[in-house]
Parts: sequence; structure tokens; C-alpha cells
Amino acid sequence: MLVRESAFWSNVLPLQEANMISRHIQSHHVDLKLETELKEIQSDDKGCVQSIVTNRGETISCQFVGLTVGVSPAIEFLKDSGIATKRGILVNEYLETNIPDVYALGDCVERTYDLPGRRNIEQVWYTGRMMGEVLAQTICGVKTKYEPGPWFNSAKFFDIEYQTYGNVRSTTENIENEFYWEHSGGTKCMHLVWNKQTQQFLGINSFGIRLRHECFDRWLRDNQSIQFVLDHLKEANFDPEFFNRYEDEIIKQFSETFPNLKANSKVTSTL
Amino acid sequence: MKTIKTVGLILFITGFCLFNGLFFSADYSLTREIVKAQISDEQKQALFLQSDSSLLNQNVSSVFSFVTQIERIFDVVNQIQASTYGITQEELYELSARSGNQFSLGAVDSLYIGEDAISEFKKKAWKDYASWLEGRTFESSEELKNQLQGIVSNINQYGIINQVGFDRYQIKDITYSLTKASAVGPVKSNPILFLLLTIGLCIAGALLYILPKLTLLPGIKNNGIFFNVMKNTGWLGILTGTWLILFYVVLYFYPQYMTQWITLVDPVSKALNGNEAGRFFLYGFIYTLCILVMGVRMIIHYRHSKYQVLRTCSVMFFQTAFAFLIPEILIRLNKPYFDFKNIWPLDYSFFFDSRISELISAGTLGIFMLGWGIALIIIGVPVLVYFFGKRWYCSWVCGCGGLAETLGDPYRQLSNKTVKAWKIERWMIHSVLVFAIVMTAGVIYTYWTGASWFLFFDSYQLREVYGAFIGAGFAGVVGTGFYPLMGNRVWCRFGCPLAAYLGIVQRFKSRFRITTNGGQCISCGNCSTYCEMGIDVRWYAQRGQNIVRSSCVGCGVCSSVCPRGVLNLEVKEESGRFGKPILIGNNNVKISE
Ligand SMILES: Cc1cc2nc3c(=O)[nH]c(=O)nc-3n(C[C@H](O)[C@H](O)[C@H](O)COP(=O)(O)OP(=O)(O)OC[C@H]3O[C@@H](n4cnc5c(N)ncnc54)[C@H](O)[C@@H]3O)c2cc1C
Repeated sequence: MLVRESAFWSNVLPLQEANMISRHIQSHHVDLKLETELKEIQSDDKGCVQSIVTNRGETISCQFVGLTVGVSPAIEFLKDSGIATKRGILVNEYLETNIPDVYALGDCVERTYDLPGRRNIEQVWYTGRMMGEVLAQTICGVKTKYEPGPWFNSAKFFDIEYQTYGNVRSTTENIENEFYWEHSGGTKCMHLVWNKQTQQFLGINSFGIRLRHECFDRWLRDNQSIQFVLDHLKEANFDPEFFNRYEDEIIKQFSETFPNLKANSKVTSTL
Repeated sequence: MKTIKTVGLILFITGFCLFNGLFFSADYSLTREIVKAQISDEQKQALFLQSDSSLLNQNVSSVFSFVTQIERIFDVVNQIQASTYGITQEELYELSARSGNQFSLGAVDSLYIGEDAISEFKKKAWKDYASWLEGRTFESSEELKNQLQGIVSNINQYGIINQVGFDRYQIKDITYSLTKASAVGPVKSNPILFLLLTIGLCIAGALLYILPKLTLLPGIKNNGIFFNVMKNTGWLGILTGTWLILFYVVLYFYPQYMTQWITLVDPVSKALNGNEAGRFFLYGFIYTLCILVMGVRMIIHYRHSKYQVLRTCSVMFFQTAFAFLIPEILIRLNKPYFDFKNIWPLDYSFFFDSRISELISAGTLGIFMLGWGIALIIIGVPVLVYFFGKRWYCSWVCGCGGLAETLGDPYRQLSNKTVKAWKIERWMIHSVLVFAIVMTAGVIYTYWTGASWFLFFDSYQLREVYGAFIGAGFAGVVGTGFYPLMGNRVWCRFGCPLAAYLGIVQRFKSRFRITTNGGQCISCGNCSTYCEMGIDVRWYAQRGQNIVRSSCVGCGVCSSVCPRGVLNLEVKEESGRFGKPILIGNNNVKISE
């Protein structure tokens, strides 16, 4: 597997997580070639793929090539339809295009209005689903705006589940502070980001530990602080019964790293 | 690794083929000594030996022909007894002539004046069968005669066989024990060797096939499951199901043909309880081994999940200790056979008079067992289901559940998820519960009053129908035989009356639910696919709603296979358990209920 970046999906994930996932992919016997790009696909005399050449000059023989270099809306067929497009199909907050009774939603859509902290083309499953829900209400007679709540997403990399709530960027911005914990087994980690000045919690990445959507949705809406989130981290655990719990370890490491942001792990559960 | 797996497969198939081959491996030779040892009643023993000696000391090479000949002998004996003890038409005429149109047993006494056995038998038979007519007056002597005709045919048909011949239960039992004792062949002379070569080889082969799974990284690995002819109702699955169905039919209804298999485990049985093995010892032995070996597979398969590992250890423990070893040890100590974790109405014979009498006569321990069993029904079930959900029993303790969760795990994806199946399920399982309650009420009524007629049925007949159709047919033949055809919980889902009872409590009074994690469901459908109870879990998860269903056995596999951490088995306060459908993340959208 060729990856242009220095670690798998490091254009989205912070380097720590990207490295962990890279190691996990390799443990599944996938030969992960980082900082390597595809230069050429070579065919045999029947026109089938025979091998590829990388930009480092290596030739790898193969029978099948999967290209996953990102998605872009396939909207060429709308060119002469009169529907306004840019990179995607342009829609307003009601998912209406410029032509009455023609709506668009999902991966192919480009919003003409801004939503704070969100890109105008959001190609993920959940936004597609939520747009569907909104549009269904509109079509059924209750005209509804598309107004997604705090950002969340999830994925699974081989055996490692990933959930994210709020915004954890691949590189933190100036005003942001971050905390990263990784389990010694190398298949679980947590990454929290907050505002340096206000201590407002901004987002979390969790790998190998399931978190409760409802808790983080509420805490993000309520602009809770990083201390609050750590105080209540146990409530947000969604792992099955009997699974090992890591909150104490995480909180301990956090207190050691940020002694003046001491989290009180003794807060009793409110759930 | 592949080589080890292949070797394992070959060993397993070899052991399995040999096991099947043993079915036909013996010759049968009936001797006087065997008859004397197996038929305890001396008169009947003599009858059996006199009526037809052509089979004695003959070598019969087919179990089928041997059993047929034994059964013929029973027929002959019964015919002889019928003609010896049968009440003749002359006697009937004479009796009706003497009675006029009023019946009295005095007339019977005056008819049979002899002191011989035959006269004594006939007098007694009339008393047993006709005393309810004593003193009754009829319209005409013709009518009395008709009434008496019915009684005569009852005596001739049942009375004689029961008293001085062989009734069908005895025929079944004795045919089985004669066949087992008459067998001569390799198994008889070397049971331990053949036990190792059959079941032993199967275990070794299965483990060799299973253990290499450890080289895969921990995590859900269900790749290619629907391309596997064993797991997608392909030819191998159908073949396996057919074999299991046949095995159960023979086990429950024709044990006389499988004596070779039973002989195989005689040494194990003797070591444990001191007696020769019976068919249910063999069954329990194989059953426990299946749970243990396939439990190892289950643990390896789900070793990333502590919940699954602990749960599997639990069913392995309860089967081995509670269902298998403790009852055998109790027998060795001359105590009643008792499975401390079996609960009525799954244990449908718990209130049968024979078992109650056995417990009551077994002193303090027996009374404790009786009390324990009743406490489980009225306290254990509701209290534990309230705190943990019905899973405490169905997927942590129960033997049927234990087999389903281990041997049956590869088939869980075959359960039907349609709404129609759900409807059928609810009708069926609750009907069986009603059936079990009515049957048991009859049994208890008969126990207290001695009368067999209860409401609208004969309690003996009803318990027999229940035993054959539900106990053996549904729980055994269909319950396990259909694993590779309809999934591993056919019995638990459609038939088990205890599951119905636990389910009612779980649905209406429990802290247990499967929580859906907000809006994280991606509709992949793994949860529904692998739900052995056929619950369409995804339907709830998609709308962000908790799953509260009476049938859920809490195996936790939906949560294990979910790739997004959406499902979690939880016990929390009752309020809010059902939960409104919510879809977190979308501000303007509410789902209508
Ligand atoms: C490899 C991969 C992994 C992903 N992982 C995640 C993840 O972990 N989490 C997450 O949230 N999201 C993930 N996504 C993104 C997510 O899958 C998409 O956002 C989502 O499927 C988009 O749904 P949609 O209905 O808008 O578009 P699509 O599912 O792409 O559906 C568009 C449909 O339109 C059809 N179509 C196109 N042109 C025409 C035409 N001219 N006429 C008729 N039909 C046409 C296509 O055939 C297709 O069926 C992933 C995507 C990929 C590719």
C-alpha cells in the first residue's frame, strides 16, 4: 500500500494516531510504503495490469490496483442541466438547488452558506444521513433547515475502532492545547484538544475505546472546559461490561502533564 | 498453519467416520444368561425363553434384524398371554346373563370359582376395570352387555399386557438392554481404545483445526462467512443438519439401535457413577465435550472481548460441573440425579410424581433440592432478570444456551430476521409456555388427587405428548438439528417455555437494555446479521433507540461485531429504559414514534 504522507491518513489524523494506525496496518501484514507515490501502472500484452512503479523507482508486480486518492463529486452530467454547480452541486440551507423542486444532498453537495467550523463539502456518511433526514421532512411538508450539531465521525481500521467528537485537527492551531495518551499495547489512544486561553474543550479522538455520543454532544454544546470533560470521562465510557477501563491512567497522565489543570478524578457520576 | 488445520480436519473426519461405522460394527448373540440378567421378573423371563428359542445363541450380524426378532418374541409372548388370560365371549355372555340389567362384582366372583392363577387374574381384572359399574342399572340387559364388551376389550388389550405380558415401555427398555448386552464386537472388547479412536480423535482434530486461529490478530473475523458451504446453508450445512436430526431421532425414539455408541462410554460412566452408561449419559458426555471444544473456539474467536470470554467460560463451567459431573456424582453417592441449574418449565418433568417422590424420600438433601428448584422458579428468575436481564440464564448458565453459543456460534447468521418470523416466534413460544403450564397443572393435580383426568385431558397422556413433541422433538431434534439450517437458537427462540417466562420479565420488569450510542449507527447491518435471536437490531440502532426485546438473550455479539461502537448491553435504572428514538447530531430533526 502506497501512502504519500509520512503516516497513514495523516492529512486528517494527528501524527500520533496516524503512526499508531500505520503500525496496526503493518501488523496485519500489509506492506505499508510511506512517503511513496504511484508513478506508473504497467500492463501486460492483454492490457491487464502487471506491475506498478513507485516514485522511488521500485517496481511491484500485481494483478489489481485500487486507487483511493479521495472523492470529488461526479457532476459532469449536470453541465447542461441548468443546475448551478461549482466543485459540487450548490445548495442553500434547505438543500434546494437553483431550480425549484430539485434538491441535492450527500457527497455531491457544496453548501453556498457557511457553517462555523465546517467545510462546505463534507463527504462523510453522517452528514449525508442527516441531510436525508432534513430533506425527508421538507418533502413531507415541514420545511426544515439543515443545521447539524457538533461534529462527529467514526471509522474502523482493521481491528481498531475510531470515534471523534468536536474538532481534532491534524495539527493544532495556535490557540489550541492538546493532550495525547496511548496505551502500552499500542492499539488504544485518546487525543484531547482545548482552547489554551478559555480552557474550552474543543474535541476528542478516541481509538479502541468507545465513547458515549450523547455525553460529548452535550458537553460540546455546553462549551464545557477540559477539566470538566476529564472529571466526567468515566461517564462517557461506552465499552462493554468487564472491559478494562483506562480513565484513571489517562487522568493521572493528564495531571502530570498539566499540573495546573488538575482534573479531579473523584467526581461522582451524575448518570 | 494451514498444514496443522488440514491435519486437524483429516483427524476429525477420520474419527467421525469411525464413530458412524461403529453403529454397524457388532454381531448380536442372545443367550439364556443375558435374558436372565436383563428381565428381572422371573415369570416373564421364563415366558420369553419358552415362547421362541430360535434366536438363542444365534449370531445375528445386523442390529436391525436382531431388534426385529426380539420385538417379534415380545409379540408372541403377548399373544400367548392374551389367549391364556383373555376373557372369552362365553364368559361375557355368561356374566351378562347372570347380571340381567344390573351389574355387580358378586357375579364375577361366582363366575370364576377356580383358585388358579388365571381365574384370580380375571377376577382382579374385572375389579380393576369394572368396579365403577358396581350396582349400576341399565335399560336392558343388551345395554349392559355392550358396556361389558367394552371392558372386556380393554382388559384384553391393555390389562393382560400390563400385568402378565410386556407393555410398550417394557418392550422398549428390554429390547434396548438385550441388544446392548448381546452385542459382540470390537467395541465391547475394547471400549477405551475405540473411544479414543472416535471421540478422542474428533476432539484432537477439532482442536488442531481451531488453535491456529490464534495466529490471527484478535478482532472480529467473519470474512467470507456467506461463501462457506458449512455456514451458508450449503450442502455441508444441510448434511450436518441431517446427521444431527437423525442422531436425535435415534437417541430419543430408537435407542435400541445405538447401543454400540453407548458401550463406547461405559468405562467413563462406570468411573463416574459406578453404572453402565445409558443413552443420556452418552448424550451428556458428547454434549459437554462439544461445549468445551467449541467453547475454546468461541474464546479464541472473540478473545478481544472480555465479555465474550467470561461468558463462554461461564457456560463451559456450568455445563461441565452442574449439568454433567455433579449429577453423576450424586448418583454415585446414591442421591437423586439433580441438575441444580435446570429450571422448570425448561425442566418440564420437575413436578412429575416420580421425581417429587424421589426427592421427598431422599431426606434433607432431597427436600433442599425440591426447595431450591422451586425457589429458582419463583425468586431466582424474576430477581436476577430484574437486575441483569434474562442473559444471566440464557447465555451464561443454561445448557441449551451453552451449546448454542459454542457449537452453534458459526450458524448465528442464519436466523430469520423478518417481522413474520418474529410474529410466529411470539405465538409459538408463548403457546409452548401455556402448554407446559397446563401439562404441569395436570401432573400436580394427579399427584395430589390420584385421579388422572384433569379438566379436559388425561394428565398421563398429556405429559407423554409434551415429552415427545416438545421435550424430544422440539428441544432436541429441531432445536439442535436445525442449527445449520435456521440458526443456533431455534429452540430458545421459538420453543423454550423458560425463555418465554424469562422474556416476559425482561420485557416488563428489568433494568436491562441494549443502549444505542446516539447517532453513530452507519446501517452496516452486522448487528442484525449476527443476532442469533433474529432481532432486527439495526432497525433500533438506525433511529437511535434502545433495544428492549423479550427474546434478547444478551449474548452481546451485536455489540462485539458493531464496527462503530454503537451498541452496549447495560443495566441502569428502569426509567427511560425504552428510550425515545433520538438522532443526535441533527438539530432540526425529531423522529416521530
Ligand atoms: C473508502 C471509503 C471509506 C469511507 N469511510 C467513511 C467512514 O469511516 N466514516 C464516514 O462517515 N464516511 C466514510 N466515507 C464516506 C461515506 O461513505 C460517504 O460520505 C457516503 O457514502 C456518501 O453517501 P451519498 O449517498 O452522498 O453518496 P454515494 O454513497 O456515493 O451514492 C451516490 C450514488 O449515486 C450514483 N450515481 C453517480 N452518478 C450517477 C448518475 N449519473 N446517474 C445515476 N446514478 C449515479 C452512484 O453510483 C452512487 O450509488 C468513506 C468513503 C470511502 C470511499
